[in-house]
Amino acid sequence: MEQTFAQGNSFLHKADPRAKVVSALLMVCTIAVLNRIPAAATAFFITCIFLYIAKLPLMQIVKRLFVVNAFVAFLWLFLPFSVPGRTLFSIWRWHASVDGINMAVLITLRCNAILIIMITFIETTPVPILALALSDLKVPDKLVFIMLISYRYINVIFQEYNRLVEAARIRGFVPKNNIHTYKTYAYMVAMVLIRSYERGIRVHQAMILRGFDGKFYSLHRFHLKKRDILLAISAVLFVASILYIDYLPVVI
Amino acid sequence: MSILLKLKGICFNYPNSSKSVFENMSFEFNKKERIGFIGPNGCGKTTFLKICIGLIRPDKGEIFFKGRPVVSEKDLFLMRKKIGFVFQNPDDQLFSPTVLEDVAFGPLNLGMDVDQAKIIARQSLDLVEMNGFEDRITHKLSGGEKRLLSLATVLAMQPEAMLLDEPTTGLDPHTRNHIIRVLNQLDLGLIIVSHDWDFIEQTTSEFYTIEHGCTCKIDKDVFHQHLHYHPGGNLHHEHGTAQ
Repeated sequence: MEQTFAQGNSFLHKADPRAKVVSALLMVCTIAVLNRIPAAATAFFITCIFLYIAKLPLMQIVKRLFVVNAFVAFLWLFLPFSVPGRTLFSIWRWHASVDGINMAVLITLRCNAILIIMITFIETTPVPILALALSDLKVPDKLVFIMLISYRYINVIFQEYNRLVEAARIRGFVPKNNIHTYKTYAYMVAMVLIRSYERGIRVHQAMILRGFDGKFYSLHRFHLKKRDILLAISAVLFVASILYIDYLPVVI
Repeated sequence: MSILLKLKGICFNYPNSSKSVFENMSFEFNKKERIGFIGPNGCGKTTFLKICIGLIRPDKGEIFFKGRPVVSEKDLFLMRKKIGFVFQNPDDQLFSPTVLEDVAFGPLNLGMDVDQAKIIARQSLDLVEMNGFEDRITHKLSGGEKRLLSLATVLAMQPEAMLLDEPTTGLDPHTRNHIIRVLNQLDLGLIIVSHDWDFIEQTTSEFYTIEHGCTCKIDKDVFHQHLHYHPGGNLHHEHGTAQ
């Protein structure tokens, strides 16, 4: 799996992953419960600052955000017209309510803000090191292993699937809308599942034979620096101020 | 010569098969012995290795490691610290992102700290002549490199003996010679299962096969001929002299 955002030299790339995970978690949980647009807009604006600090390739960011916003755009088609409230404008028989539009704007801002935080804080760390950070933060070892082994083997499994597809094509298989096609695809998926299961057994055996007993060890060591404490404190300040803005009585 | 591993009265057959793989099989393996197993496909060579290392539990019979019976998980753990197993498919054995981390996996599990583990890992890479590979990504290596790396990962446990399952499948002559060189420089007991007669002949000194549900030593030389054809066969030429 290509990790395009994990390469980099910015402050966020160099910060301790544990501080990043904790800060990101705090900020994401806060943004998810915001109720009003001013706070959400502030949060979104601040996450744009994170984007600037992380110096990530713009094209890739846009592509990523595009996927989520395609889904959000879909919501824009329905929310304004299904939430009851004062009508702002009408298209033919459908009335777009102020509350509906408010909700759509809120969701757009929150989604993008959360996604940008995930990209700038979580994706700027390579997966194996992220796993170690999670393990340090007391996430159960089993979950950490699932993450690591998935990362290691997902390409292998995908290649196996491709080989099966190629093998079918070489024997004249052309996908059409019929039972034979469905059966063939079903067999291929089943085969990939079975092979993955058996591979899992073999990898587990290989690990046991080298003394594995369930605990997670790594050669990588973390060093918590002043800047990481500052990062965590900034995250707390961010959370506090956003919540304050959200609860301020505002006329809008 | 102390006996490292002893199998006594082993009986085993696969659940869906009526034919038994092993019937009252016994086998003794001394420290520093180098044994090669050959035989037709399906005769039970890989099964034999798996029973030795405890991955398969025999239906009947006992296993002794250094004289003590291997019964509990703890016994198995102690045995596996000293007897390494190299799988046939190196992809199943390489699960860490980088080479150094994979080789250090064994030492870290054995309780060494990070610096010690790194030193042992580098030494093991040295033994298989793969210095400089520390930061490479494991799944992007070539087949031969993966094979050598899987050898290094087992050597990092500092075992007294190694079991190898078809170590030369799919290797080009250059890598094959590399492995022969590495194995001959090691001061370990070896049990190698292979179809490659020349490989076994260069790395081991005793030969066994599996017949009638038991392991039998092959100690008679049998004179035989290999027939093959290729262009220029009627002209004087030699085979197998390239190094």
